[in-house]
Amino acid sequence: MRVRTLAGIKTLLGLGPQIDKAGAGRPDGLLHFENNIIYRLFPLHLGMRWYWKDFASMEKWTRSEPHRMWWQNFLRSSGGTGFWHEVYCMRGGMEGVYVDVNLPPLGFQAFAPACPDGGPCSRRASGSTCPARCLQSPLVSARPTCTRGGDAPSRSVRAGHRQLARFHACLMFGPMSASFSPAASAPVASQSRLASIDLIRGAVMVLMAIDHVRVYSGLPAGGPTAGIFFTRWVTHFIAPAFIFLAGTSAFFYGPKHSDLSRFLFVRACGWCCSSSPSFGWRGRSTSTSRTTCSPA
Amino acid sequence: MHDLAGSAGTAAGSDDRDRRPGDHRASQCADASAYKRGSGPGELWKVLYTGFFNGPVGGSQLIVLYSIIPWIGVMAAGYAFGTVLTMEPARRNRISVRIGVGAIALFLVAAGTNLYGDPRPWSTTTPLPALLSFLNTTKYPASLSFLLMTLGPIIALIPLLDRARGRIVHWLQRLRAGPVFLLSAAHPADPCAGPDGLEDPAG
Repeated sequence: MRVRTLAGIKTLLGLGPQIDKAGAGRPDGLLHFENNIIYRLFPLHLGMRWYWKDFASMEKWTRSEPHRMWWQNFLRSSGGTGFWHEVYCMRGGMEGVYVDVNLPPLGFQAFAPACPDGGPCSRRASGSTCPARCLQSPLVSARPTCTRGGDAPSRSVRAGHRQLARFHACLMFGPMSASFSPAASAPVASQSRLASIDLIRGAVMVLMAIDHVRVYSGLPAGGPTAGIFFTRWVTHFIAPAFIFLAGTSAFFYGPKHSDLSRFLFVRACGWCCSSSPSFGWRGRSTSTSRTTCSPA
Repeated sequence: MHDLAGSAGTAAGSDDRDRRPGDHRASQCADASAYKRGSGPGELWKVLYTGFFNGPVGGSQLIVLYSIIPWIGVMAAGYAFGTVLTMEPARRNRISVRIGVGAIALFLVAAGTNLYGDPRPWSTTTPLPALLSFLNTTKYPASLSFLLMTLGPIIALIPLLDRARGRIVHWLQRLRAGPVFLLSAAHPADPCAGPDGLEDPAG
């Protein structure tokens, strides 16, 4: 939270204790939290670090009280401050190196098991990328923390600094790029969402092909025998699926583009002009069609 | 909705479900000339809701099968459903199943009792077996039964489809592109060409 005006100091002082209290209340999934991290004194810029078991628990908390109310009020008026959130999701493990900061425990030390100086983590860390073994560990709780003793010689301290730098690199380019979703407000496994919708669309294509084959081979649309009836019946799913998903597509198109109305209008015009049988001009005269429509 | 359609002189009569599909479809086509008569709100209603082959606009040259009133609702429902799809998977799946199973249940109850949802009640005395008569919901214009019967299973299956894997699934997912064009381009333009008339066009 960055203070922008004098009133902002009041806002910050008002909110700070509430945030402390919320963290102390230990919401589900909160592993550890550290408030009042100072980024800068002029202008005053404070921050906090909260470690969550997973994204879902964090999101659940942010949508519950009191955070929901804070956020709502904040969107209405920031009270002379600026507020920012960054979420780092990590599927793999993380490594932290702590030099002379063991007590009271800071960061990972507060909830992750420690591994000795020079253990597997730091050995792996000598490579150019993030420690492979750490990255592969699936759970936060299983992540090893490499803690250096307070009696580390200066050489180790330097090594610690190097690894610290690498640690940040992990955050930026390692697991984050694999799991960080830019739409943090919508933590969707977009892969899987598209999977079902794409599958429906593909199935609709196949059904449509079936329907066309039926029409061109002169079979009636439905009839007393189950075979004929269901050949038509399955294709009933085409139009509802198609129109329904068109609406869904518009929903997903909207937030990404400012010209949703124009896009839909142009689409609709194209649709009408494409001589579609759903709404279009037909070539045959009435009399012809009435003749061909004589009872089957 | 269906009462209104009936009073507007809809082609999809309210009592012809007992006939063979071909018969009543044929009667719909024969009724087409009636659209050239009349004017005013009735005509507008046909454009907006009941649909037709030989339109009141420009004589006989216009077809409206997917009339705007029922289908704009389907599209709006799809738009609203986008919100569900942005939820985290567990919640999304739960809501999808609830909506889908709820729709199917509503279809079974409302259509099963012939209470509401389809202008053509199903019965056991048709040439169609009873089950087929029950499933033979009115598509033009889209009836409530028709939409519940089709959209219900689709939505209910979303959690399963999300988990589906395999070669065929992958192939279908790649097929997804541009159903519009197949629907609009490759289909015979004359829905009455087939013996079943109105039920003929794709989708």
